[in-house]
Amino acid sequence: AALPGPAPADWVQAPLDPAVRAVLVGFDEHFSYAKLCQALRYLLRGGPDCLLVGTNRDHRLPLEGGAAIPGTGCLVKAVETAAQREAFIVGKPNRFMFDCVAGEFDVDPARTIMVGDRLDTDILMGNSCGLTTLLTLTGVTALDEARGHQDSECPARHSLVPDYYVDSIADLLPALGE
Amino acid sequence: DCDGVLWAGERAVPGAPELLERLRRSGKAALFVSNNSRRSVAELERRFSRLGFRGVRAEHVFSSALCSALFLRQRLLDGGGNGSGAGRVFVLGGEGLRGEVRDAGLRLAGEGEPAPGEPVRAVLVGYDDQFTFAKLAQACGYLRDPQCLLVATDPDPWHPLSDGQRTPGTGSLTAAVETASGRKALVVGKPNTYMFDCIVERFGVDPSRTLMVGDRLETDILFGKNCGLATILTLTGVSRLEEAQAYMASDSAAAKDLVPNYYVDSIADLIPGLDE
Repeated sequence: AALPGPAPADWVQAPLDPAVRAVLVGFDEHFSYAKLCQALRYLLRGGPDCLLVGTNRDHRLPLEGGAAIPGTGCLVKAVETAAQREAFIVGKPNRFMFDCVAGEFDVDPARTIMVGDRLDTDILMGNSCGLTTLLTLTGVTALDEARGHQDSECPARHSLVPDYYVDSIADLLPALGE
Repeated sequence: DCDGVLWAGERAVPGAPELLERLRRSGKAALFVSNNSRRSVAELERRFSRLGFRGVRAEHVFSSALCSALFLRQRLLDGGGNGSGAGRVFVLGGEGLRGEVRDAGLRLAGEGEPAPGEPVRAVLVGYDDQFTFAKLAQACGYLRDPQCLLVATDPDPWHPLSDGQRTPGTGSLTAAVETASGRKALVVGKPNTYMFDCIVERFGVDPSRTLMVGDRLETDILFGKNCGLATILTLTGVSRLEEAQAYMASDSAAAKDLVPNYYVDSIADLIPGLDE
């Protein structure tokens, strides 16, 4: 809907949809202060009766050449800060998505490997769900990071350590060979 | 503090102009320290006048916009950099904030690609009701250079509007930039003490003979505590008395710092105290 005027004082006069019961924050390259304002209005109106859900907390989406664009986590953080409440995050490392998969496909964690490139999402979720975890180095994580967590005294960091690592997922082919 | 103490929206708090007038007649200095980064101090001087406050000049007003500009000038210009080597500042904020940065002798990065050879040396996050994903991405690009500072005008998560609604504050935008860049912002505004340093440098204030009056426990009252000032909470703004009481009842040492020494329903309640 078009904004009813140039300033927040105008925007907050626009009527709210009475049926809205949740604010869902996902990746939004058209995120703006006006939308943040609107999200805050719904959350204040509904209080605990209006859900605040985020799809994931990724800080950055890497591009080629080392550059990155801001991730959904930034937008979730902006809404959480303005509303002074915490979002329920559906994505990894939360186990919700694993529960969706396991519900549909009769997955046995003891016979399942989670392959991922990100320690604080992929590997953490895999470890939390009782899966065997495999880190691939073709993405955001360098091996040093995993070793750092492994050597750490902090038990929480140990959950970020994969059971195995490969340089690339293709390195699994020999294991599947005749 | 100003918002929620001296005025709410376009209305002066009843009795507040009289309180300031009485302070003047009693020979007591009044200075103003605001986290609001929307307006230049020149605009604030006009606002004071328009809302019925007499005799308040721009030099008495310390806004987070002004102090952020002074902070950046210190770090980018005075710190040994000559005029040409200072670099530019990418500002996420409105014209009031941008003007203060320019008035401090700094150059602003335009929207779009930087000119070669003139690096952006600081990203300044302020109240920006035109904030977009694109600007967030642009800020992150500049912050890839570890020499580029990340500064925020204030930490406020939201501000009240006159009808009880709220508008997101600089704090929420800063959280987005911090998350994307992996950096922590240097926050100029209350409760941090930099704005008090600016006040002391210009006016030489004695903390032991100074009262801080504010409406927000987490910024104004904590600021007073951090600067060694006695504090008064006024209830015409953001914080409720119950919140102060909850901090007082808390076991945490940090919570104690958010408890004001005194509270009043309105700053106008100080007037009788000025009568001999």
